Amino acid sequence: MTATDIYDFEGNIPDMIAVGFTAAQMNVATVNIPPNFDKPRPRSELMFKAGPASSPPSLSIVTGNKRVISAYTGELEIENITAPDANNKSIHAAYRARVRQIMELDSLRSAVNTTNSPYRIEFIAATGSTQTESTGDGYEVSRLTYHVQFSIKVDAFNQLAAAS
Amino acid sequence: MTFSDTLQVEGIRSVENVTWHGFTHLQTGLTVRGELEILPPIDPRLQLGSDTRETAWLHIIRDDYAEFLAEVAQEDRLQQASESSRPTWMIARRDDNPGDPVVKFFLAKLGSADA
Repeated sequence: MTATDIYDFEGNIPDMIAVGFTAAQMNVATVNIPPNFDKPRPRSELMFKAGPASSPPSLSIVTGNKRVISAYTGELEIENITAPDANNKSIHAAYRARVRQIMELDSLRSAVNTTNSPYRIEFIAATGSTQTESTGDGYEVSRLTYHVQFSIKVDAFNQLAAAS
Repeated sequence: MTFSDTLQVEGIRSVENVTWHGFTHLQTGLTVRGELEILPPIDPRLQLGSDTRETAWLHIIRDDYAEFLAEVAQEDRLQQASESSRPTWMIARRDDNPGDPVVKFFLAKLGSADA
């Protein structure tokens, strides 16, 4: 376990959530996926913006009797792009609904809270959505945002201490 | 068609075999020929970086393709005839000004992985 494995929230959390999208056979991109001239559509792009530690702070006692802050918050943004859809936006609406289904709390937990993950998703809640009107330019885009509360497992801290 | 329109159409036809492209309308199988006016690509500007699609205006002579013009709809697909590849374009907009003998369609090229 390295510091990157634990503290690169922006890189790690979207990758873990992306597993749920891949399992549903949906195209997904994160910051760790190499750029490509020809990205597939429809597609969801996941961006995680780390926020403050949970308040009041949640502390864990790890190897060496050290105290570490172990619970954080953040905002996940999911940008969805599909083909244009002049007829009531039904194609995009169906795709966006599927994304929301994947982001249901227990589905997400099963994707992220695996044995090997240093994280545990405590809570995730939708905070809003926006849609861009781009039918005339050949695509539709919407953005879904989620408040995420997660914690870092004590085992992960201990593994990091052992490796340091 | 006015005399002015006739002159414009004849001017267009005089260069037709040099600069024009052939297309198949995938919804009906109808074929059309028209001139592609190349435009800058459009990028939806998502946070994870560029995802451009090439765009162009397709100009076709109104009187030559009445059947196609009656059938075509927004978001239909046009497959371009080409010796090296057969790119598919999607019709995103139409400019059908009766004052112009040419009807213009705004095309966005589909990527190889697009649904």
